[in-house]
Amino acid sequence: MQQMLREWLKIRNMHLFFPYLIATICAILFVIILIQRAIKCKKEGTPFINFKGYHFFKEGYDKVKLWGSVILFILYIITLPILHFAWTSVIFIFLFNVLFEIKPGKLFEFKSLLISAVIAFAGSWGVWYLFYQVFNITLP
Amino acid sequence: MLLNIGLALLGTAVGIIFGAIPGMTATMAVAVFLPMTYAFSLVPALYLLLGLYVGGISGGLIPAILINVPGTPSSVCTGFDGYPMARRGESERALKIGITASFFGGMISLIVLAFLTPPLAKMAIKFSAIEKFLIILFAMTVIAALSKGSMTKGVFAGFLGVLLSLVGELSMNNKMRMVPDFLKTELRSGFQLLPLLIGLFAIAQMFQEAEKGMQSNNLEEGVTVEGAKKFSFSDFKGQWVNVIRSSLLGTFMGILPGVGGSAASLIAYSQTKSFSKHPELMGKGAPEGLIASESSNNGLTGGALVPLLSLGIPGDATTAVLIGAFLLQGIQVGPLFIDQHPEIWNQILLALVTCNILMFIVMFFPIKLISQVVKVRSARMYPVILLMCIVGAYATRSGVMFDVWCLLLFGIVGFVMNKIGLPTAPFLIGFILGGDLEKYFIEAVKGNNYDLAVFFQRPIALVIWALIAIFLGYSIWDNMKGGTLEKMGVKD
Repeated sequence: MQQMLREWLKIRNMHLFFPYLIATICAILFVIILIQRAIKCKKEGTPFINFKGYHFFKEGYDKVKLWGSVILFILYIITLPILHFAWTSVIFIFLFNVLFEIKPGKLFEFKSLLISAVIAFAGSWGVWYLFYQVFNITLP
Repeated sequence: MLLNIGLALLGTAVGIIFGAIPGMTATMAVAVFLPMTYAFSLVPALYLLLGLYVGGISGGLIPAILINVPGTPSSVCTGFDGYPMARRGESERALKIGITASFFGGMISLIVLAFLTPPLAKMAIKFSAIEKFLIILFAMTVIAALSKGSMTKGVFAGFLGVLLSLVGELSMNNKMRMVPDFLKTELRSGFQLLPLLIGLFAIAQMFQEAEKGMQSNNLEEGVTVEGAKKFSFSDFKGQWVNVIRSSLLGTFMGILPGVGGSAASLIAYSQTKSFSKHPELMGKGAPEGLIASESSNNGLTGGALVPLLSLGIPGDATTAVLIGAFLLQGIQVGPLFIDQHPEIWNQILLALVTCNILMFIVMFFPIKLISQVVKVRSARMYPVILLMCIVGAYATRSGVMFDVWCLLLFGIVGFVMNKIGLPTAPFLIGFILGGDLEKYFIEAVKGNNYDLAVFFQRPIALVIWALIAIFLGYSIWDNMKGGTLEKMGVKD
């Protein structure tokens, strides 16, 4: 064991020792999880892999809001270096507010849009002023 | 004196803001304000910086309780019980319990700092890489304690977190591992903790709420804030042992250089669960879990100053920045500091008392207003949280856009993990502790002729092994008992 450790922890390959060790432990634990599941399924008489009735997302989930938020997030990050923090944030925080406020049958309400705009402006410029101007923290 | 109190107040208030924003830390607050201390002599500078330190550590409890996003890594355990309390409408009570526990933690660590600095520093220096490795291993036992009902999955998630923490360059031989060629620059120092933490908790939760349609606020269905249990100091009845034990654990972890606040909070939480009369309630909104976490992470503030002032070794990242304040004033901290500068030493103690009292006043009284955040509808709250998260992630390394992409990546990872039933808290704990686990293991083994027996030879190591065995054994027994009760149809 001592010799093996000496070999593994030589300066040229010591960076691989822990990743291999932890990956092995993860693999063993994964096998144990599978065995536990197999035993449970056998006891309950259910199939090991059962996609029937399985839904990754909640049934009737809000597709617009979930996928909309992922897409808006990606666009937000892409736009940040182009328009910089304050203006990008005003646009995207407004869009996030609008997206999350969408109700079935009522896409846009004037009052809701107004509140979204106020939150986007006040939030983005407030954060920009506090962190960039007052605390001198780097912002995108 | 008025200037000192004014600066302490400013420091505490700004520190709380930094602590409360996910991604911003006490270290960042101290670093930002360090250049400002050029304008002051050492004592006012210390009032300001210690205020930032105490405020920065304490502020982390606010988002942890209100939105289940730890404001700082050391408040990871605060959300385990604080957030379920907030969901029950008890946000004000949870915040007040957290603030009071933080105050006690800070004051207890201060007493330790005042009376035991020289002997504790001498003891801490005896802790070699062997004991530090075992302490990190001990902190990892909280994974088992947190994974009741699905221990294998919890431990698996924990080790996945450890594996992820190893991505990047190992500083001991400057070689990269598990990094694709096109990300060699971005991942040289691996994934950063703060984007991972915020992504895993805040962004994943935003996606979950979006999936549900952003219909409600954070309160459980049918719950109102008005009808919820209110805070009273009697919440601490029967908790004094917990407060003192957790504060001392936090202080001691602070004394050990390089062990860190997250380990302190995790060990205190795990101990409290083991000693609790109702361990089954922990993680479901038990005030004792919240008290353990908050008193231990504030206990750290005094503890981390022990090695700094008596040995010249910083106990954590924030005290490493604090050294800069002493150097700016031409003062060398080290074994002779207390004897050579008794007046500064007394001022440091006074500054810490002042900052802890100010932290309590600044947070306790306006908290009723802040606690109303739970009433804000998710649709309006999450865009603002997202804005803060972007700022926090980007500021982690002073302007690396890759960290913002990581925010999204770990948001998706957290969402998927929740879907497939892999717990995210053990994953995060594994990530936090993984790097230190590897570092101290290699140091210990290399420094002792590659002999694994060294981990069982020193008396302190044997005590830590015994503690690990006891708490692992307890967690396994508790897990099996839970399984048996489940089979019998009895719910906790």
